[in-house]
This record gives sequence, C-alpha cells and structure tokens, in this order.
Amino acid sequence: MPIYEKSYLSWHGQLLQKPMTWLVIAKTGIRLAWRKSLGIILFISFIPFFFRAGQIYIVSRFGDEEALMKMVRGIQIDAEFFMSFLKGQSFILLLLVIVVGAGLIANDRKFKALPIYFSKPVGFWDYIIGKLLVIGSYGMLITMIPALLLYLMRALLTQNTDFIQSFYWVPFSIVAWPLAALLILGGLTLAVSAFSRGSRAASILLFSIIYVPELLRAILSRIPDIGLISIHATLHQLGAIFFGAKHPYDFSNGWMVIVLLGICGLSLLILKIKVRPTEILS
Amino acid sequence: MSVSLQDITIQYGQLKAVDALTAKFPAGSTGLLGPNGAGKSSLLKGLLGLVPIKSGHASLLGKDIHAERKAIRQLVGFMPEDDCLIPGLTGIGMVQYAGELCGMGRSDAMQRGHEVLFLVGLGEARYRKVETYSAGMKQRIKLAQALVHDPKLLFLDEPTSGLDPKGRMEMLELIEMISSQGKMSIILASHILIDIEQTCNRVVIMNKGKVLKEGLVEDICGQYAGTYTIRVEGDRSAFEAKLKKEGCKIQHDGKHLLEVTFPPKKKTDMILKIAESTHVQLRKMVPSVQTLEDVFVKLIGTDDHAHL
Repeated sequence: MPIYEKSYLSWHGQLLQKPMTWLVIAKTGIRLAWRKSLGIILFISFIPFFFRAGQIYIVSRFGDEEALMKMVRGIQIDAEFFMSFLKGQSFILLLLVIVVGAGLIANDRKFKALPIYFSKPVGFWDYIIGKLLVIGSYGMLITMIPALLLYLMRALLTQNTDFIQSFYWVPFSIVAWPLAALLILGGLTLAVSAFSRGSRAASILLFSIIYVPELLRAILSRIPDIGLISIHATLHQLGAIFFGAKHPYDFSNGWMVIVLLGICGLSLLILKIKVRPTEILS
Repeated sequence: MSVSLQDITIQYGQLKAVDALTAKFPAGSTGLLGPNGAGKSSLLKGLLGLVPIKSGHASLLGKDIHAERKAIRQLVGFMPEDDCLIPGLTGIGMVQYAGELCGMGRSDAMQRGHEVLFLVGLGEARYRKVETYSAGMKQRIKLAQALVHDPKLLFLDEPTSGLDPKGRMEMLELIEMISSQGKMSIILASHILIDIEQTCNRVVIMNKGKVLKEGLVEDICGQYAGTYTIRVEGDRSAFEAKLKKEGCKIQHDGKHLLEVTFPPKKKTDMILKIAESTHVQLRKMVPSVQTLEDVFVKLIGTDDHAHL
C-alpha cells in the first residue's frame, strides 16, 4: 500500500510530443457508450449473421444433397447475397447509431466538457474524428466485420477458387459501403448531437430525421424521386452502386450524390458552429 | 518569463473583452484581479486558444500562442470557472483521461491520477461518477485534471467559486502549497481579493479589458502607504486648507477623522507644523493600513470615474 504525501509531487515522465488525442477520445467513447441496451442491439444484430453463416455452410458443404438444399432453395452466394446481408443490417445500424451517437456531443455540451477537451492538445478534428470513431467502431462491428467474415467463410468452405475469382471485388464493396454509410450517418448523428442539449432530445431528433422521411417515402412512393428525402433510401442506392446491383429507387445517382454531400456539408457546418470550447453569449 | 502579452485584444461582436492589453507575468504566482466582466477569464481562454484573439502577440513559456497552440496546451493546466465535467466517468477515470489527452501513457496517467486525487482530497471519492460530486468536489476534480500532467504553468479561473468557507480555505491552502513549492507558475484569476492576497505574490489589476496596475502585492500596497488617519480638535477648516495647499489629499469619514494622503517626498512632521500654525490639537495620527482591497477599490473607482 503506497503512502501518499499531502504535498505536490512532480511527475518525471515524458509526455508524447504529438499525442493521438483522437484515439484516446475514441477509446474512452467506445467504453462509455457500452450499456445494456447496446448489448441487446448487438445481440439482435448477430442473429442474421448466424443465419447467413448457416446458409453458406449448407450451400458450401452439402451442395449435392437435395434434402438439405431444399432448406436453402434459391440461395445464391454471390455479390447480391452480401449486399442483401448489409441491407438488412442497415436497419439495425440506424438504431445503433441513435443509441451510441445521440449523447456523444450533447452530453459534453450539457456538462460543459468542451473547455476541458480544448484546453488540452485536442483540435477540432481530433475531437470530431474521435467521436466519429465511436460510432464507426460499433457500426463496423455489425456491418463490415460480419460481412467480411461471411465472405471469408464462403471462400474457405468452397472447394475451388471459382468464388474468389468471380467475386474478388466484393470485399472492397463490403468495406466501402459501410464506411461511406458510417461517415455520412456518423456526421449527421454528431451534428444532431451537437445541436441538442442532452442525449434524449438528440435521440428524438435523430429518430425523426431518419425514420419519418423513410415512412413518408413508403407512403408517397408514387411520387417520382421521393426516395431522395430518405437517408435510408439514398444509402441503399449507394450500396447498390458499390455492389453493381440493380438500383432499387428511381432517382438518379447525380441527385443521390448531391443529397449525400449536402448532408455531409450541413453536418460539418453545424459541428463547426456548435463545437466550440466556450459559448459566447451575444 | 512565464507569459508575455503585447497588445492583446479579444472581442465578442462589438464588445472588447480585452483591449490592447500588454502585461508580463514572470515565474511564480500572479493574481489576475478585477471586477466581473474585467476580461480576466477571456484573457486566460484567449491564451489557450479557447476564444479567438483579434490582434496582438503573446508568448507562453517562450512559445508563440498562434504558432504553437497545441504545444502550449501540453505545458499548461487549466481549471475553468464553470462546472466542466466529462459525464459518465469516475473521478479517477476523468483525471486519467485528462492525462492521456495531454500525452501521458495510460498507466502513467492512472498512477498520477491517483496521486493528484489524493492531493486535492478526493482520494475516497475517486471511484464515484463525477456527475454525483458536490460543488466543492467538482472544483477539486477540475484542479486535479489540470494538475495531472504536471504542467509548467497553471491557469486557475475563479478556483473558489461556489465553495463554502471551509472548502474555500482548503482550496486556497492547496493552491498556496502548490505555489510555494515553486515548481510551477500560477496565474489565478479572481475578483475575490483575499484569494489573491493569500496565494499570490504578484498581482495584475484589470478593469474593462485593460491593465490598471501590475507588480508585487507589497509594492502596490506600498505605493499608497503615505496615508494617515488623523483626528484634530479645533478649527479644522484652516488646517485642511493648509494641508491641501501642501498637496495633500483629504477624505472625511463624516465625523472627526480625516484620511490624509501625503504627496511623495513630503515628511510627516509637516503635519505637526501645520497643526501648530493653525492652532488645532492633534489627537490621533496613525498610518492607514493599505490592503490590496484599498488599492483595488481606489483604482477601480478612479477608472470607473474616468469613464463616466
């Protein structure tokens, strides 16, 4: 048991010249974001993974046995299989982004933590990247990582190299689509979080931004280009482009890019305005 | 020289919080004294880059504040005025986190975190969530997170704000103890004179974004030392007239006492001669004790009067 003196003791260690503060913020954020509800979401998100893994296993190992093949009738382990998996995961991803991301900046603002961060060698981008990585890490855990594992599983279980030769580009799509989606969704989530004072308000606002337009799109589906109002739909369209699949919506890729860039730009603008070390009252 | 400021201006819209301020803060403990809205907090925040500096140059520990902002932040510990906490973390978690953000290794930050938490008196509460801390504990955790990386320079912005008398005394003793070891320079911004008198040997008095006076506390108080409290019996009008003629400043207390301030280089026996010549009896003559508060009130009063 050390004996602590009631006097100031100097520290004789060496500070890192250029500390990777974004990594410190990300690691702490990942730890702080963990809670029971997140555990449940992650557990649910892995059910489709195990289901798909089972399908791959049966198709790969028992392709010749008719009785077993009846169970997985019509299943083709191709690019669309992985896109379909990621598309299914994207619904859970939206929920996860709300649970993990809503409080990331809102709570810092509520508890006036920003001066603590910015009085240390932390810059605006260190802070934003750190927070974005918190969303990104959990997001990748339910999208990119299981999809890559499924791909790897299929590649290992296949007796020949036909699958890899035909779908060598799929891992890039598996990485690119979730990354792009997480960047866009993460930026939007952080902006909404920065805009709100408290995680609950941010959650409600995020829920409205993500799900209400999707609901409207479903109701008003006959209106041309209505899908552009839904971030869910635009991200699906983006996924279809990455996987070279048929476009699920009727809006053009040009408009989709404009909408997604607009979301990114607006998010960045809000973050620039709201993430300040000191609130200056006029 | 810990901090050197040259024509620093910090402006919020049309309001100049700091107005072309030039000052020097040598190593040691310096109090930044001024009424609310004097620009003390803005100056500290500006030096750390937390609010933009409109114009001027400054160097902290030999580093330029515009070019080497991150390096400066590594060398400076900042205890903000507001209740700034990182939610969700325990006391030790928050201090460790602050250390890691400054560039300490994880285990170093943890070990050091325990040390500073014991130092500030939060040893027993270090595993509690910071949101559950009382006002006094929040002040202490803010000090701990500022000290964790052993900064060369410590900025304390109203460190006793919101503390009860016992907590205030303990906080001041803590600051005094850190300051007395001479290992780090301290700049303490406060509008509470006793806090500065107790902990600092130098003072910079500010009002409306400008420096009114700077120097050692004893020197500043000494500049106003030629003041005496006098009680006379007899015709005071002739006595006062002669004193004024000699350049003395006189203030009445409303009853029998006069506060007479002598001009520099005038000897106090002059007063005896004037009393004799005007036929008044000198019943009392004692030097007025000049505290920092007297100086502060005089300076602020004069400055405010000049602006009217």
